[in-house]
Amino acid sequence: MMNARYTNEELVTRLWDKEEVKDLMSRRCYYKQNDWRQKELDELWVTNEEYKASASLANNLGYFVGMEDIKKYYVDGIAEKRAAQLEMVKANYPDAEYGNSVMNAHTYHTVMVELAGDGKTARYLAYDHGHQTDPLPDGSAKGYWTSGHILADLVKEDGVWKIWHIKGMHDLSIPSAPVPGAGGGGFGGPPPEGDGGPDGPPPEGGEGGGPGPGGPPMMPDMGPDPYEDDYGTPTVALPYVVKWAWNDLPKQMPNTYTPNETYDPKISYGPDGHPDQLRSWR
Amino acid sequence: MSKELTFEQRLHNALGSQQCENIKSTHSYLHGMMYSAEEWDGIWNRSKDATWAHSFGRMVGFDQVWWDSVCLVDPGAYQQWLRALEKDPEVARKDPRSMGKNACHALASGVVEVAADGKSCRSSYITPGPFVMGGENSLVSGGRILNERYGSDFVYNNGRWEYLHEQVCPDGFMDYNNGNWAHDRYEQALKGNFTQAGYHNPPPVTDPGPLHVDYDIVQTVQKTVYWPEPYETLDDNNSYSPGRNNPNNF
Repeated sequence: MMNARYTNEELVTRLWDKEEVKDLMSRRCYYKQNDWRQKELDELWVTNEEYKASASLANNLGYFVGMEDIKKYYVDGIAEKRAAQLEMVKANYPDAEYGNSVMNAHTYHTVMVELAGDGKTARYLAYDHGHQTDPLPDGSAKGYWTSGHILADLVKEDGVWKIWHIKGMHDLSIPSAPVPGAGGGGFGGPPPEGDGGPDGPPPEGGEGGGPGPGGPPMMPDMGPDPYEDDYGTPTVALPYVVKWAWNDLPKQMPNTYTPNETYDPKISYGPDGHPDQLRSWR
Repeated sequence: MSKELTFEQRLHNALGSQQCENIKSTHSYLHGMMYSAEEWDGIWNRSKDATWAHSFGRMVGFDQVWWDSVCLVDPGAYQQWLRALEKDPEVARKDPRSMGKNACHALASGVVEVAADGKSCRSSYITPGPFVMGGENSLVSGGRILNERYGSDFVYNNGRWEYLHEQVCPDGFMDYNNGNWAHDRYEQALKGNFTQAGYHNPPPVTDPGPLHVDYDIVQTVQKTVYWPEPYETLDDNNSYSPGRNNPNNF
């Protein structure tokens, strides 16, 4: 029954490699929740100079490329924003004890890991359900449930798996509580009504296929993405356009290694592997 | 796992467990992209014993599963795409399926068991409340809370792991912030007007349901997709579709 392609020793290594990749990505959730951004780059990301030059971190607006640009955005830029947010908190609650000023959590689940045939790299896909609450100048806060998919290329450096490219594609945010005048169901629009059901086919006009009151589906106007200000100015501006839903994902599933199953930048989660969006920019 | 297994057998079963986790996640993303044909073509067993079940009943045999899950599903995506195209010509270059309504069934709390004989694997998962994206009028997303339980059987057939059975047990389907869903459902249950989330127009099935009903506050435990226990082989006592456990029944 065993796989004739690999020896038992290699199979054990491959088995364990997948578990280490899952652990590495799960660890990132804890680092992010603690806002340990520099520590994350130091401990979880690539250290080899060649990999550092091509490392990338992407959000909905594009890719920050190279560890220097990643640090400028992900560590320095966010730290500057956090400092300003902390001042907002202090101004409204002078006697409080202060933390990171932002409360967030991310959980990666529904994991797929695909190990390259040569065992040197791995591709990872997971879904991230989380939340984030940011303080506002008037002493209130905006809190959202957040949803997005995570794609990553991992590489083994001296026997240790490291993050090389990562994409956090934000799908939608739902206000954590009804916001007066804002509605719900999307980035701030009204809730959807009567669609085709959670497991079923898309709705057809005049008839809801699943739960809900039936009738033609009314999808919400999402309004602005509440986290767009967090995205910064990427090195390579290649977007993930939320309004097209998962139009990109079929081209980015982890099981799309090249025929000889080795890393190829064109089939990666770095900017060279960005799915062709042509002029889809919103 | 039995202590009497050889090292090779243990390794085979451990790899199988990982592979079935991957298959389960693959299903989630392919379903999220509405890539039904790719899912059933790529990861499913094609025998007469392949089954897919929901609250409304059980589809039996690959042909019925394919018809209900691909042939009856794809047209809705294309019709939706055509309606969207009337509003936005840029839609013409988009994939009609993956840009449409997508339901991402998040998977958590997995229990995965590989049979001692290494020929099958069983799993149960809970989905903790994913989102549902959708594109109709404005091609934007909507969020819902979906609670479900899944029971899945896989078989090792001709050198690869394949999906053989799936049973979906929906416990509830609610809006994130439209009303107070938890309290509303509590009141509905106590007043006797609890609304089931099931389908209004279920597809044809060989074994009609209901096989599962929504979870409510006054309900006793439903004996539907219990998590798998360690087991020797796929049989009627260890199957989410008893009586249909032969992956080579063509």
